[in-house]
Amino acid sequence: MATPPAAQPNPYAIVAGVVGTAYCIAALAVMLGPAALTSHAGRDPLVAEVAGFALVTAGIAATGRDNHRIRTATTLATVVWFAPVLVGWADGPPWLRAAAGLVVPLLAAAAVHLVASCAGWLQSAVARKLVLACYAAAFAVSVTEALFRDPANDPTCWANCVTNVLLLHSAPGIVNVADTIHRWFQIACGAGLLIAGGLGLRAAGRQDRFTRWPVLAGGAVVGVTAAAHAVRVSGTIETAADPVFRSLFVAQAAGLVLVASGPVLATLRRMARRRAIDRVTAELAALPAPGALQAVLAQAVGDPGLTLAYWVPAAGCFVDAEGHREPDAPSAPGSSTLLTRDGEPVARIRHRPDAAEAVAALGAGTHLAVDNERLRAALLLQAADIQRSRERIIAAGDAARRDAERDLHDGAQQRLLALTHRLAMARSTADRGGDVDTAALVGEALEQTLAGLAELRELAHGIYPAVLTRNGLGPALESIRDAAEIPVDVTVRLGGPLPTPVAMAAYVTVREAIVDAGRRSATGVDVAIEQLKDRLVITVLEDGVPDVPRATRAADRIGAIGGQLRFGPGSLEADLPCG
Amino acid sequence: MRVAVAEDVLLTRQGIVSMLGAAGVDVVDQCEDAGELLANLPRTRPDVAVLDIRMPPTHTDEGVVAARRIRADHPGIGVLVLSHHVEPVYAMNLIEEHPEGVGYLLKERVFDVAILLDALRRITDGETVIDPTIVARLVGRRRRHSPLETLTGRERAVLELVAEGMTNQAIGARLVISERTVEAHVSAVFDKLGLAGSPDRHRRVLAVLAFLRA
Repeated sequence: MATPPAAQPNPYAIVAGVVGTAYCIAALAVMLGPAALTSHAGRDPLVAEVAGFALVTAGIAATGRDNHRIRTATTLATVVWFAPVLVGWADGPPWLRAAAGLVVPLLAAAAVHLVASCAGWLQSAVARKLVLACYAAAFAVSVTEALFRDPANDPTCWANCVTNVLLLHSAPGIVNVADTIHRWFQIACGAGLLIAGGLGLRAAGRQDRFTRWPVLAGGAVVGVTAAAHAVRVSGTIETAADPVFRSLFVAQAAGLVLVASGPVLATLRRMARRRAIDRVTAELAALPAPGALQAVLAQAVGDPGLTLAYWVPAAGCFVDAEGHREPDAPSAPGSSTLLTRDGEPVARIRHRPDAAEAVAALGAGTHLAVDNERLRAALLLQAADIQRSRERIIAAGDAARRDAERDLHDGAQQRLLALTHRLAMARSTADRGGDVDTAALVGEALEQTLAGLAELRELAHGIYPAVLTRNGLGPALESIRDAAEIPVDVTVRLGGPLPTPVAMAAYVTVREAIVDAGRRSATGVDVAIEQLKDRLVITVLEDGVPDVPRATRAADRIGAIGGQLRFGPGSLEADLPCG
Repeated sequence: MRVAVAEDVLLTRQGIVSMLGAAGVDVVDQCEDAGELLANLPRTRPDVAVLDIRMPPTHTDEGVVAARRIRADHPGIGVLVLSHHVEPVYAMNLIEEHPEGVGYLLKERVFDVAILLDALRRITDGETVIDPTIVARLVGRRRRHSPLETLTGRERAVLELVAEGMTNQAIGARLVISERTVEAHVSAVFDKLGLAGSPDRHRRVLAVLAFLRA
């Protein structure tokens, strides 16, 4: 059995993991530094880091078809997640704070991206375009705000009220409009995630629902918190100390952890399944070869005389591994152990009395092997029964033919014989009386009776070849040859007398082959029969028209004794067991 | 002539016996099976025993088996086996050890009284009698490259009569030719067929039949 390829570490996953981890640690450093309370993350650094590392871990762990899409989404989400920390970094470089400010409004779009990738929706091109459109809309808003927001003039400013290196022109009116659009965009994204999550869970089957709910429910939580944030921020000035904003932040972090747990759980499930398959594969590979279980158990138990028999309910008997019926002889107390399932016998182990404990300990571990071998044994028994039944059917047919031939011989043939006698006497009486006309008439009747006798003889011979049972295959084939319509050469090499069914099958096969060759306009037939140890090989070569379908009635007879019949162009080969 | 008959079918046995009786043959024993006939032989001392080939217990070739025993144990008693079988193997089994004084005829043949009497006479003379139907079947068999094709019509006729067990004299009488001419034909046939030169009259039947069967 081929060993499955070892899982290759994905280089992109390693890079994403290292960079992501570094980013999370850097963000933590900023949060724990001075003047860090200007972001929600700064107030709850542990919550922020748990969510951040959950995203990084999901990126590393993602496997399967969508792993690169999930990695992209988690990377972007991580960047966006910690961006507010950088914005609020009072000692940070102004360009970094401005760049981070550009990224912060992308949170809703990143959440949509993350959920869509983890839920496997991004295999659809429409979904990919929708995610891109979300990013584009959010980015348009964030660029507008960056260009026109003067932090010094912003009454709602809280995280960064000092510097905006990107400021083009202070225009509070434009910023207000952009803020409104942003809030509605967040609400729309939140509603979208909630609805998509609900629909997704509803559409998933029972099994799928269990595996998909973290992503879909987490996505809904993230979406709802984003929308709630948008509603809250329109009426209240945002601060890190506000309990509502703080709760929303914690809930959002929890939602992200849930979403991120999706790919991780999926990968864990995949690994568990893989281990289970490996285990089954190993167990199957360790199963003994068919028929060898008895020897394996005997060795395991330490009783070389141990025998294993399987219960076949359909036949109501125990059989060995090869399907042979086992005698139901009683055994000494304690020397027989019955394996049962649901109260039904499965197998019987006979062993030394002192091996009973070891046999009882075999237990469930052997069930797979026992079932496997028992099924095979039952099929072998069935096949053998069918084979015997076929043999009996053929034998019964032959017996009926033999009886019919004998009846013909003792009945009709004898009557016709007596008739020829009477006719011969009548003719001589007529001759003596000088009645020439009557003598001629009776002579004609005599000739017809003799012709009838000859026909009857051929008929009887066709029904059952008496010569076969008495004198064997060679003389019987000679008889076929002598009566054949086309030249036939027969070579027979036998080691001894054949069993009657084998001789009959060979006889019928050759007779049919010769008649069939004649039907296909052959000009001659060569028959060779050779007995090789325990087989009888029949080869018939002829030059009949090959395209005409061949007669195959003899195949039934050959099959009934377990032989094989093969046709080639201008040839027939039969292989009969005759051990 | 003293004849003993063994035939298990009453109708046929009666037919044969009445036929023989009408022809003036002395039927000294009538039996239902070969065992009875064999047991009676020391007492009945027939010239010829007429046996059905197929009798109890196996209804196969008891007649042939009994005939071989009679020829071995009582060389003075000829045997005529009556058969339904045209397979040459039975005839060969019958004559291969003791061809002289043995005959194999198809059953229906015996109701032609001339043929029956001729066969009995030839058997008491120590000749071999093989049914013409069997010979015709052997000679008429389809062959690919048959040396028989090299024979003239007359030679072929002579070959068939040799196979039937006839003497040169009888063949001459049948074909209305002189015995010397028959001899010439026989030696030409044996040459063409590649058979060993002129064996004695009994062995030549075996040689010809063996050639035809091969």
